[in-house]
Amino acid sequence: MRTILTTLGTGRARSLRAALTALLAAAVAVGAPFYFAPFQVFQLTMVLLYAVALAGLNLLVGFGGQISLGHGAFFAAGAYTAAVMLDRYDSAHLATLPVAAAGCFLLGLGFGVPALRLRGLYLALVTLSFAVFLPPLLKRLEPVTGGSMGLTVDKLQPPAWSGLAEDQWMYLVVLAVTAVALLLARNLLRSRVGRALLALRDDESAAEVMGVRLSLHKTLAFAWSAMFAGVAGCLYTWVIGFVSPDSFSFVLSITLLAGLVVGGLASLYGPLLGAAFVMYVPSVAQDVSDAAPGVVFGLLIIAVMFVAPTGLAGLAGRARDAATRRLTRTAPAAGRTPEPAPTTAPAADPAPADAEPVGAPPRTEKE
Amino acid sequence: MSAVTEVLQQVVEGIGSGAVYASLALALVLIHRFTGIVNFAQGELAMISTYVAWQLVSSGMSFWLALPVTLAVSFVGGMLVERIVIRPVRNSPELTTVIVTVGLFIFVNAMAGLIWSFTVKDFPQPFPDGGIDLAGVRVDWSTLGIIVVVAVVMGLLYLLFQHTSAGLVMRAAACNPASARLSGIRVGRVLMLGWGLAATVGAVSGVLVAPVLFLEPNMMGGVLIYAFAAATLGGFDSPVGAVVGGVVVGVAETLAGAYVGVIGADLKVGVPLVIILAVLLVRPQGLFGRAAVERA
Amino acid sequence: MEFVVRDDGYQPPKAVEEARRLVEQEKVFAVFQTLGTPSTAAVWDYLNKRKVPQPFVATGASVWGTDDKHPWTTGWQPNYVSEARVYAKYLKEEKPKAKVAVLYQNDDFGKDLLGGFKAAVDGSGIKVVAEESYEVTDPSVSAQMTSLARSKADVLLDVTTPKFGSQALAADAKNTGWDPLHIVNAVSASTSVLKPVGFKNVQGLVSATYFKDPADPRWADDAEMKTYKDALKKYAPDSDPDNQFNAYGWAVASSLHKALDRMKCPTREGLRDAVRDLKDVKVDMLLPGVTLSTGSDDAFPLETMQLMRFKGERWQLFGEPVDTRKEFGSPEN
Repeated sequence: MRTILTTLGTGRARSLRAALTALLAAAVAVGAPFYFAPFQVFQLTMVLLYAVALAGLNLLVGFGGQISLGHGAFFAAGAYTAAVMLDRYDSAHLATLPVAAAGCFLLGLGFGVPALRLRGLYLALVTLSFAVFLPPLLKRLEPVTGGSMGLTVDKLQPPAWSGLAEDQWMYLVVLAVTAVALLLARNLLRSRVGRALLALRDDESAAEVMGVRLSLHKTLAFAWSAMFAGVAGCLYTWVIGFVSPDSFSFVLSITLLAGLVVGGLASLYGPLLGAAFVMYVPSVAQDVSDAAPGVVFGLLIIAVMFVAPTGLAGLAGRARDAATRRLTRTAPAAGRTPEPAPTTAPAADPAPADAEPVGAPPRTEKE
Repeated sequence: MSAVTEVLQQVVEGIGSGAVYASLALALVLIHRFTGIVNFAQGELAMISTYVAWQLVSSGMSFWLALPVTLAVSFVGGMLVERIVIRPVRNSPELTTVIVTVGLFIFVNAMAGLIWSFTVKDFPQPFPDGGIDLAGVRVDWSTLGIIVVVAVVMGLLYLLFQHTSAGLVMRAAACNPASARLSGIRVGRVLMLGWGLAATVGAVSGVLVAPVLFLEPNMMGGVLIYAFAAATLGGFDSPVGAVVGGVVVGVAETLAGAYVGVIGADLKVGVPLVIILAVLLVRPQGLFGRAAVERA
Repeated sequence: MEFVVRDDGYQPPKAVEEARRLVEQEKVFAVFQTLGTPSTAAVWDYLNKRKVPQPFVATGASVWGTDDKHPWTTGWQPNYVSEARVYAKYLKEEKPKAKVAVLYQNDDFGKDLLGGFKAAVDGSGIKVVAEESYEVTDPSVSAQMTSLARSKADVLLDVTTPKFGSQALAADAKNTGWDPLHIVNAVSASTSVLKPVGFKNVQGLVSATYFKDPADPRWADDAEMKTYKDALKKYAPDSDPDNQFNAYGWAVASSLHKALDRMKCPTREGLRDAVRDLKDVKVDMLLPGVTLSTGSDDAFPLETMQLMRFKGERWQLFGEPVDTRKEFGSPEN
């Protein structure tokens, strides 16, 4: 047993496995729209775009250690930017993406400034108040936003040369954007910005002493995460084709945060898990109890938090570690006891070889 | 009505709403003092306590008997929630607990709808109808009643925090449970007590508010945001702050909605937002909070 | 007929998802009674593109009838503009110089009714002197009611949904300094809204309706009412037959039944055409004088309502049913 685990643990085998799993995942992802029914492909598309929003929120909350209960507002901003451009200026769909991204980046920067002075709880509440304020504001700006009736726009259409159906094309486009977004998130984290964020999260004073510019990086965290949410909102408009103020109530913001934590804070594929949870569980809950799906949904959120306090993404890793410990209990294996990164087990794991800090804020976990 | 009287009438209106926000804010402050977390489910727990009271009254019990029974049930209920739902995630990151309260919010709200449906229920009004007329400004007995009860609860909590050892014990348990334990504090008991008390205060809030807002599962949803604003403004550690915050938020929102044309009734929810932002930028710990409770 | 029911939580993206599930997975024949304007607006493009009938949506927005790009979608209940016209007509007759204060929900429902009312009183002696809106996330409307009281208007037009309707009625009752004629819209006219406020506090309240109120003793011996109550007792013993929502459900389901009977061929196209070609169809539980009518120039099945006044413990009909199409023309005007 030990030898097997040792072999599996070598660097080369690890990167080979990582590459193979990545390839497999990519093949599955690209092949999905040709296998599943259109409705299911649509659901997968929604999961992907929510994952983009969660990846952004993850930057801010998971890695940056700040709380935002208002990310639905950035999502809405991106969605409305795209909708207004499509409706009023007859733009091409793809042209709306950079505008939504840039606009939300700037919006996030603007937010980041007052956010500097606010800590934890107060920041959460300010962002929540803004999320509550947004729908009435959107309604008030009726000439631009179409008021409470909202705006209906054309969905993203497949070009003739592709021969694809509408759902398939939308899925593949959203998949491409999501892949880019997740890669961007990963690279941000590995860059100086990412390291600065982690340092700030773990110990602000120490980080400052070491030369990390507090204000700049906190503000940047907000800006990047807002940008991601805005991009997700833009994709939402492409896929659903309808925006209205009531689609973006504060419930959305709270659901996003819950989805992130359930999926896995500070984990790279937590956003995907969280998005899937938020998308599928309420529907399944209806099948279980059509009178009160909320009962099931609420209970499940609590249950997941009990079983996996830092999210489902960490669960596989922790199960693996627990199994590894059990298997190697007789032999004191130095260096094989729970590493921060899920490395040693054969479970499919497209995570990079770098240490993946599962479980964000500084309190210690149960283990 | 002269212009001044009209303004005063709106101010009275605002104080009335403010007292409603303050009542829930007091429960939020209690929880935060005891456990250091923000409890999203506070409003829903208050709502379900109110349904318990309603159920008792509907089954024939007199209101004045149903009330203490409800308070007792809420106290026990709060303790159970802490023990069963919150305790298991005590050692997890703070955000986990917050999300658990979100799940609790969804669960309790749906439960109430399942058991009692979403139609509006009639809730007995403990205060007499009518009101008094102060120089042309009308003040209902029910408004006065809410203000008085809220003031009394605030006073009791203030005494609890400032003048008993309970206050100190709570702070210790919230700030640093490990060290508190070493000092002999039964942290688990303290937490349960805190949740029980907060649930009781929440029940009072719900019972005060239901005759005015009408009882239905989403009754407290709108109030919660304003209660958060009130507690934030006041400083999350202070019962006096919660009440002052509530009144300020209520009055500002009502006046702005009534008199500032560009805001109007639809955007008046932006007023608490602006207030909070302004106050927190100038004084981050809120009006009455203690400066920088750093938990490094 | 097999019903598949899905809950969209009143959220447009969920509505889109559930509509797609119903059409693509459950393969339903038609999507009946989509509830709420936002949800209906979110899915009608999709349903029309997929050529799935969306008959009798459960919202009174006038747009379902004025629009001509969605032939597969139709409304059912008298739309909010028609309802507003009924109130306008009543006021023109009873209080031709009335000053009106309006409380309305700040969404398509509230704005539609308010807009319809303003259009209907345009040019008459009736003036809207005060307007206050509220959001569904607001805890209460007491501040708005206080503002409206300042106007000292003769009439209060109350365009609210149930919980806020109760609050507005209670606020009006409490305010002894202001005693307007309180007109409440049909959505909030159910006794479940009035009871919590106290029947004694809502005497003289005016509203309009188009179907028979099960609590009204005048229908006690009515054959349709008997059928309805017997069926409810047999198939849904836990439901309250006096709850007006049950009566509404019965009436709209009967309407679908009649439409299906009139299909020239049992296909989706057949249903679409049948729904758009109803000629004075009588349906159980609708008031006498109220029938379903649609045609090439009329996409609103029900446009007739009758006024009612609350007296004692129940609503009492008065006057004659008002066919708003006859009186005012099409709601497009």
